[in-house]
Amino acid sequence: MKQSIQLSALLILSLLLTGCSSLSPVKNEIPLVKGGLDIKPTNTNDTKLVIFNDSSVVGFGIDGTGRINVKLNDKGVAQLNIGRYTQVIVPKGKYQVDLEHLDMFHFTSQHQIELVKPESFLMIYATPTSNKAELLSTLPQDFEQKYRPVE
Amino acid sequence: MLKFFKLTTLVIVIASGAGCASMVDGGPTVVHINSEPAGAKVSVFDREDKPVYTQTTPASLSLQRSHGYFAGERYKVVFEAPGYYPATRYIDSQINGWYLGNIFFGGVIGLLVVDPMTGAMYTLSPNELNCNLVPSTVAMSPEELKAAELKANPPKALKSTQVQNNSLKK
Repeated sequence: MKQSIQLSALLILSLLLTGCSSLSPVKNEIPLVKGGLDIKPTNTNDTKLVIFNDSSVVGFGIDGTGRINVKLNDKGVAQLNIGRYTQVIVPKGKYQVDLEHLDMFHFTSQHQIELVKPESFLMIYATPTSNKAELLSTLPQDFEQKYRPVE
Repeated sequence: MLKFFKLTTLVIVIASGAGCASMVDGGPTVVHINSEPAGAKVSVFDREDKPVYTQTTPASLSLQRSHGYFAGERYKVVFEAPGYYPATRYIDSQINGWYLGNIFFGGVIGLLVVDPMTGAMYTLSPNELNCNLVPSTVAMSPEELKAAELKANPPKALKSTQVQNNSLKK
């Protein structure tokens, strides 16, 4: 009995702790926009893209597996923890978004988006088997209370 | 030592199993709203009739699934466009299938605490809302407008039945 409890504790701990090795942050290759959310692109051919990590705190926050590395067209943007956002100004057009998070395995995913408006909002989140990215028309309610800029 | 392991096991099992739906399918839901014609003003109100969003179609919006502890959300979506009658649709919350997973994994904490508090016990339906607006060129009574709206937006079940009937006739 004692042995089985020890074994099950060890097994569960090891399963949980596999997610604790942290994901190396992606190297930043696209300049991030510092400042408030009200900054607008000066060039009409550009768009401001706000990317925010909306992963579930219950599922990915406790063991820190909700950190997501973001790349745009193979160029590193940032690593976003849950509740963090970043913004970049890029030319309008089609982009490939690469997302990566580390849980028991490395979960990578690719998403195609098209940026046509002066401002675009990309919600990303980790799932138990992959990542998801959704382009929104506007920021969620109470965004500034719920999200902080990436450091 | 044994006590420590028992306690550790218990804490870990509770922590890891808490909130099946929150772990597998948590967070807000994205709803895609379209209209014919595109470019209509779309206003979204929550169950207390408070405005949540005002956008133009097509729009993709992040909506909360719940309106508090054990209270699903219900959104009223109003479409308005010049030259068309305004139309109203609803987005309702339904029980998330993953919530039932707490029976096997997650237990009482998942069923009564985590999933109801995070809102993950619900999903929103429909998550794609399409509305064909009725032109206001002809004055209509409320009944006529209702019939015209139904004609412009046939229910999905009706559509598939019609298709089946047509194929049977052939």
